[in-house]
Amino acid sequence: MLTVRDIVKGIKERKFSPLEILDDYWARVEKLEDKIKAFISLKPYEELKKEALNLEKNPDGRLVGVPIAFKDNINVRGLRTTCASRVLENYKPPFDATVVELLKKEGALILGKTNMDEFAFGSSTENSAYQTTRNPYDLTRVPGGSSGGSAAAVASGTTPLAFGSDTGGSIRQPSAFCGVVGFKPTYGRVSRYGLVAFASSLDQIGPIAKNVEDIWLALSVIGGRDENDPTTSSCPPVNYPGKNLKPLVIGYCPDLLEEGVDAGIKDTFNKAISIFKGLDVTVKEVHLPHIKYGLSIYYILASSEASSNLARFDGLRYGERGKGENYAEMVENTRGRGLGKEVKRRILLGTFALSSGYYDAYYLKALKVRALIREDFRLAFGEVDLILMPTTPTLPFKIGAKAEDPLQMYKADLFTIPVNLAGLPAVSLPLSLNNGLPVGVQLIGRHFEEEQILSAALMLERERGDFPPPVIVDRIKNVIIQS
Amino acid sequence: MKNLRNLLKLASLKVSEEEEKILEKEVFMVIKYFDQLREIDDTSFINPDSLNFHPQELILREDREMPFTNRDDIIKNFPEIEGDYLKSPPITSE
Repeated sequence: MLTVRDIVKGIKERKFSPLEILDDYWARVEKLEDKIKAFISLKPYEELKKEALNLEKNPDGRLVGVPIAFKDNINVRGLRTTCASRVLENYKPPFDATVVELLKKEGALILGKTNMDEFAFGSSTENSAYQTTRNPYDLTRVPGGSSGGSAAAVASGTTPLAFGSDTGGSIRQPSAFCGVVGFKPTYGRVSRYGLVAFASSLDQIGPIAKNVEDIWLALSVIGGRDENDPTTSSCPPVNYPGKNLKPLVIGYCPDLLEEGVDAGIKDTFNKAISIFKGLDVTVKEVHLPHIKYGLSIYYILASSEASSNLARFDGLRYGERGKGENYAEMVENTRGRGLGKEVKRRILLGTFALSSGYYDAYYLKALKVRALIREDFRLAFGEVDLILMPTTPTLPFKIGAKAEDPLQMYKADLFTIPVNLAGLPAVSLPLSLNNGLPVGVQLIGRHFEEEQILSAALMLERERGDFPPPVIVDRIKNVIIQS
Repeated sequence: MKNLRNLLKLASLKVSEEEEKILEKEVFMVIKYFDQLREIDDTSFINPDSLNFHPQELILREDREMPFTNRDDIIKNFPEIEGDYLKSPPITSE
């Protein structure tokens, strides 16, 4: 299968046209989408064809003719932004997100919007109000979440590049589950303008692709200062092609692997360690004593911010309006009917943590422990260039297996959450298959040192070789759909 | 305070009795999990600046007027409309 770089190069050298590329991917969408269910909305083919023909006349962009997809919480003008929620079922945003604008400018072709956990609350994409996305490596398992649609689309080859948002692992965890590369940039690297806010101090948009180089290219396009998001940094953009920065010292936390981590995950993690050692990188232990509290403080802070951010879904100006004799009744009915179970849970958790009498013990305390976690990382990065961790504690689980137990589901983000709490950049790279299921490892770097992470990920990728693509099997009919 | 009905009211959420029972169980189960934070000594935290999470300084810009051309797209999203006006239910039912 072609990489993003191959597509751009081929189009510029006129080896093939944007329309030929589009037709190739569209054929896969038609063949696979009803099995994988990665997309909530697809752009009509005739519209895409017109755009592809226009690109042929003017093949200048750095991503010319590359089909892309966006998680359905990123605004694309002309397409619905549902956030996989009933409350936004027919909402069409009046503007493009900044990342959408940047990618369009470089000639990327937007195929559609991908499935997710409702408002990005979840780790399996089962919380979508519309459909359950399947893991291409095993259709009975979840793709991870919340950007499960984007990861599954890239893994099944219906798009070579997709974008998600990562608040506590929502790009990296599904990327690990689906055997693709997912990158969460430094907080402030990528504009959040046009991303439906979940937890504003944690959210960040990032790319998902099949290989590190394509991620590098995508990051170089989407980063940068944006007047519409005051938290964006004026730090120079990620360069592509960038400098190859070999890490000198990589750290890991042995105590993290002690309990609740699958044997297959530990094996893959140890494989990554030995690859680095074999490449003459020093590997040493580091200690991050407060990250064991990460899960608790994340669910306090993220839910608190979400309870405030989601107050706007009141049925007044857009979205599905509930019935009511007066304004207050209308709002309660709109939200009671239009929001799913997990969304209500998080809003209630946040409302609790921010409420009078509990604020100090929960919200404020969590903010303080967040500062301790950030300090743990700062001290560790005084000794090492990168920190290596598993991306997930378990292999992709069966659909329905954790749906009834919120705490078990929350633990899927154990290793990804601390990175958001500290605002750091990190990648998840698939390194091996265990019982036919992908296992990823995570590399975490210092603020704005994305190129250091990408360089080390490239080293691992080269040693690993090509990652086996999914064999998509229809178990009911017992036939191979795509290998 | 620690009951779900009050939280539902604060969050403007109306749910069925059955849903309320399930939510009550789940929400308080998660809150109980948060109790692990009690073991952390935070008495040394005196500087509120240390709670700022941003990796860099915030850069603010001057406020200025900007043209917005997609007025019709906003209006198309109104759930109820009268002419060009957004229609809302009354604030009171009197």
